Amino acid sequence: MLKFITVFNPSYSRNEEDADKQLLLFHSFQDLQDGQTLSLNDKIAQLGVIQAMWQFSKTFSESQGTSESVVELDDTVLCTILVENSFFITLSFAPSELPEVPANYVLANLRHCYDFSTLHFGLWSTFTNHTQLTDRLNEFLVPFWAELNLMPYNLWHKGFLSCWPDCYKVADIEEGFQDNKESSTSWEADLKQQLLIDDSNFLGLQDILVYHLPKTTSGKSYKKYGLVSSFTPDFDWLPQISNWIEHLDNVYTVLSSHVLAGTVQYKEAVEEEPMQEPSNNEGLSTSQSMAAQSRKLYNNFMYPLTFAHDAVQEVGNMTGISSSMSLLSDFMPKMPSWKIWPGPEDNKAKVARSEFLISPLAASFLPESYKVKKMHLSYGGLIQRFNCLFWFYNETLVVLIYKEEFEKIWDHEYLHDTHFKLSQSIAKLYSTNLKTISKITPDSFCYAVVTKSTRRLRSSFPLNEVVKTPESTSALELVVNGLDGFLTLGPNRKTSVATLNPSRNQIAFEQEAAKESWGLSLMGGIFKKTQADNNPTAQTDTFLDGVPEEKLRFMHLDINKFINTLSTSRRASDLKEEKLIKLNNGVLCFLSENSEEIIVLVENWFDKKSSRTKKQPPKGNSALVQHMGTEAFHWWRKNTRA
Amino acid sequence: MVETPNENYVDKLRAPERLSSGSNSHQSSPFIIRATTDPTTSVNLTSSFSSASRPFADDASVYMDLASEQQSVSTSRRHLEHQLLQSMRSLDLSPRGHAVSNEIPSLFETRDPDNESQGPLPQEKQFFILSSAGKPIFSMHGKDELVMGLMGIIHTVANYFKVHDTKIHSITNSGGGCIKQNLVFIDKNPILLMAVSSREESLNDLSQQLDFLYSYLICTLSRRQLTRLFTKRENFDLRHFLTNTDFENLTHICESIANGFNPDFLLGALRCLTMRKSTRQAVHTAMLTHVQHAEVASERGTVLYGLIVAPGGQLCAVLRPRGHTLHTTDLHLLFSLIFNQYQGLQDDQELWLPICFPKFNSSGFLHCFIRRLPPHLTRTSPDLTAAGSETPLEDNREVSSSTPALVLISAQKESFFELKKIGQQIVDDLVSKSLLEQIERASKFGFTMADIPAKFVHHFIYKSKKHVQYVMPRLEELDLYNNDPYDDRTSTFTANYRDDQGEYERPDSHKREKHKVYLYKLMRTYTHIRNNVIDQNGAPLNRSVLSFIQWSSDGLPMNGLPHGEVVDVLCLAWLTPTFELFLICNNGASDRNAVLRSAKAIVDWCRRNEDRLFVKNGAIF
Repeated sequence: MLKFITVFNPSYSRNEEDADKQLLLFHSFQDLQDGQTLSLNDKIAQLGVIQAMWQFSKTFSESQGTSESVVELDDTVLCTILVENSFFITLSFAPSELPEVPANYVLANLRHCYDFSTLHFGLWSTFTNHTQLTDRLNEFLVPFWAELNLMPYNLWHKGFLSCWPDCYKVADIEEGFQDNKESSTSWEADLKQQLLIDDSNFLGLQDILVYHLPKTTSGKSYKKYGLVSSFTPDFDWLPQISNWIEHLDNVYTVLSSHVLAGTVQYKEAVEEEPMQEPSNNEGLSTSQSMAAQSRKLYNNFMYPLTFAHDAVQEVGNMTGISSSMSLLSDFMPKMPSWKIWPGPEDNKAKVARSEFLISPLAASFLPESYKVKKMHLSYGGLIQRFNCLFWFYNETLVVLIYKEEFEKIWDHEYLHDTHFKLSQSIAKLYSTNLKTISKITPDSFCYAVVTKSTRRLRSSFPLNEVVKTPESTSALELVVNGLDGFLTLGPNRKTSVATLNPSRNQIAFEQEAAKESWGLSLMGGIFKKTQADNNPTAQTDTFLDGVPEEKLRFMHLDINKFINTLSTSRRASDLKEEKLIKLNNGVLCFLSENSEEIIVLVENWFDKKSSRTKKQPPKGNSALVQHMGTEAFHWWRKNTRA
Repeated sequence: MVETPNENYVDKLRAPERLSSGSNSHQSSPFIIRATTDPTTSVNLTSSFSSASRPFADDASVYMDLASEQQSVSTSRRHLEHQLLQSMRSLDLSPRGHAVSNEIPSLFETRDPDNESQGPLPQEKQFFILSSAGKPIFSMHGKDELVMGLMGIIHTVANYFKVHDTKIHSITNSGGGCIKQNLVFIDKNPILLMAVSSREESLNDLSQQLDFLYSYLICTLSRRQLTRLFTKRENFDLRHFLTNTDFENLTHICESIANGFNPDFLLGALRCLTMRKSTRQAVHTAMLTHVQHAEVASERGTVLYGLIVAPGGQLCAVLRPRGHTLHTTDLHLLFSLIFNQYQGLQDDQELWLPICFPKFNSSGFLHCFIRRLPPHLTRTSPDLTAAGSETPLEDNREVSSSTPALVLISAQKESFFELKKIGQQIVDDLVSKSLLEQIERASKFGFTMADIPAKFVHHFIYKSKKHVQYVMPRLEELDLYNNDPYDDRTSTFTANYRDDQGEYERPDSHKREKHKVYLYKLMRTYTHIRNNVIDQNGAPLNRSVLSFIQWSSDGLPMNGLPHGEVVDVLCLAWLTPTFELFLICNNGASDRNAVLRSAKAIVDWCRRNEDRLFVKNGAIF
């Protein structure tokens, strides 16, 4: 489990006396016994040691280029990253309390945490007021890691893909349906034509990012997950924002307006309520959970309120909406499958859902963060603030990045118009590129390709799924900060809190009822789920999709070790390294790294034996990759420069 | 000694033949495959390569020496040359008149010696030893003042964690997706050891190396004495207690680990002398009869262990009590002493030495009787004088360090004369049965790649896990425990880096240097390929792993610059519960299936000849 996280900047301290000035954040995740706390001196000593080790290491090698450090102690691992050349972020965790988590998984999350924070409030060095920076770090870093602490499986969710934290996942979508040329233009061209360079958006719309975010439940592969398209070539922070969206999607299992607005947070259920465990929830009466909710109210106040007071008053009046909502915690665990759920969506399953998630269409009483997401993004090396709107169409998320001074987004007419144009283009995307061809056999191999220059990551490896029964016995709750607290104060004391066991099978959908009037929404939909239920076998894309949880995690760990051998390699710069590693548990892995890309191919050599074709590869030209199955080799031929 | 025709790898017949053909043995080879698979070992470099016409066609280390000789060369020019060097790394290796290259190209990045951004101690590897109170004991590189400060930091950091009830084990620094350096700490209170490496070694490799350094200290001091020294006074300065020889030896060990060819440390195994089963049996019998002789046997415990070691620490014969073996580390230490510290031991001298074997009993001493077994003890045959003249480049010192040695270990301090007697009897016996001659020959020739029907293989290491021993084809002029030590030591606990050392002018120094570079390349390659089957903590990736690694030129060669041989090296690492095989192919041999066949052939061959390649049980009493 996590021990502490600290952020410091040694350059903020000038001499011995003001050593405390360098400390920006120190948050301990552990309850110290007897009410004792770490003194400031202890904290500064800790920083001093971290710094000493860093400086000491510099004695032996060139001072530049080192940005990460992992210190292994008896029972603790200290992971440090250096950002913006002067800020150190150190996370301390006890590996013994977690299943095997390689340090680079943690480093990747640290890197992401920093990246996401810069999206929200810009580079840290731009803060002139250090207390202000501390406040923002408290708001951002602490909840981020507190959530990971509660749900540590998110640490290894991405498996060995964590080796490349600065790369972003790109959806690998075949352009197979391009041949029916009747539709004259591609969806991308449409989007560009109708939105990006349209008169109404002239110079206002900076970029459109299109993500395809299918749920990885029911064995759906990760292959088609990720960025589909972006339109401005010099978007430097594309990896950051893409990873942020992926992170939200992973952690909260569903992208809703609340999640994107940043008002949602997982918290540990109040200790005094052992009955709150998900398994016991059946016996819990509504009034009991009411009591629990009201107790949580106190906790909610601990977090920064994003709500304006007058907005809350209005919420109080909207009793009709809140009373129509059922208390999710009473019913969720009993539901064996989504089919039984008499959702209103069941009837119109074929109708695509599309809506703005974050837009000025949100109800006026909602805080600003529901209407427009202000993000710091860098285009061509210049970091600016942009207004971002989020829109979805089934499993596709569209991020519209507007210049801050572009006022038209507040015009509802304009938004409806945009909505229409987007629906048309994305519908086209679905009909041309995303149509699922029912494959007869899944791929017999998995691939991951990292393109170094563009930082694009293509991969068909399934990710580590969320552990079904979390080790921590406490129920985790998705709390809509503030909002719920005030709702419980309302006359009928009903609540919209979703007590969620964070498993992908349960989707918070309380917003469904509210969306019509509140302009809030929830991405994806229940009908998607039913579709998967009807046809569960058609979804396996690769041979690994059916592999059990635990095995998949170990395989990721194995591949992580292989990739480590690439990172320890000291080969000369003009050489490329290829390797083929065969374990006796069936894993056959091909790795290739050259100056442009890293390629990982994995297959099961047990399977290969039987399906291998008689055709021998041409003699004398037996490259390592040819040892992989024919399918993998064909992929290789198609996808590499060779 | 019966010469069986199918025993075709230790060749009594072929050895003189090869000698007679002089340095260039290719024509005389009876093997067809030789033309393609001949390893470096038997090639005379001077005849195959021209060295004069290429001013900087050499590897970086040689180049550095060259640069230091020519002071007038401007920095920018040197920089350019350095770049050129990197671009045509194997230019100097392109063979003349050979179809296949008999060198391996350098595969690893070389550091730019002129790089300004380097830290004060830019060497790729460092070892520090200090006392738990922070007093420096030994450092591989660096000036005293600098090292003193660094040790202060190590001490502070280690102490900080000690106060917090934990221990620091390692620091891994990385950046840009690759691991830049590893720092490993070992706390053996009252001694703290630290290693830094920016090479491809794993954390486990480094802690093994540190353990060896620590073992050396224990070997000379014993754990008991060490504890006593420090319990009296915590900030005791061990430097005053250690002798000059100790520092020399530490430096030597570090140097050998860092820049030498020493698979012993990497594999944690002993190299074994290849001998005929019957010969080894005869040696064992000779040893056993004299130890079990009636009058000796009455005093049990006089002889604890007996060893015959061939040059380069090749284990030849073992005499041991039933149920007891000596730890590999202990033997490495012993061999290191024999072939390094006491390499100057004259043939007629005998050594009676107290040694603490740290893994055997770290708080007590055993007593070793060491005696050289020079070949001229035997009735010299014309063949052997020829063998002596085959290596005319070696001076006397090396000859003496390249004679086998007999070691008898006893627990009793005063049993020197008994051991001397037993030793003499054993030597007499060996001489009378002309076994010494055979040991000498076996250690000189070993086997080469040509003895094994394995195509494309340049060199390999085969380790038998059961025996904790390894074998490899003969490498020319290889002396594991004596890789060219240097004498220039001015500071008390540091060894100077070799920058300012004048070039030791010897006609063959260039060739020797080149060969050293070759061995170093070989060693790094082995380290690297081993890391592909073993994780950072030294555990195998799986119960058995087979892994191929291929390095080849990336993209097009640079325009306008000359480039040498195209790099295309395939290596293989194969780990199973019974053996480990590491194999480096010839440059250009990239047919994976053929290589795998060769690997299987090697494994088959090693298994078939297990009796000759390894000391299986030794003489047990």
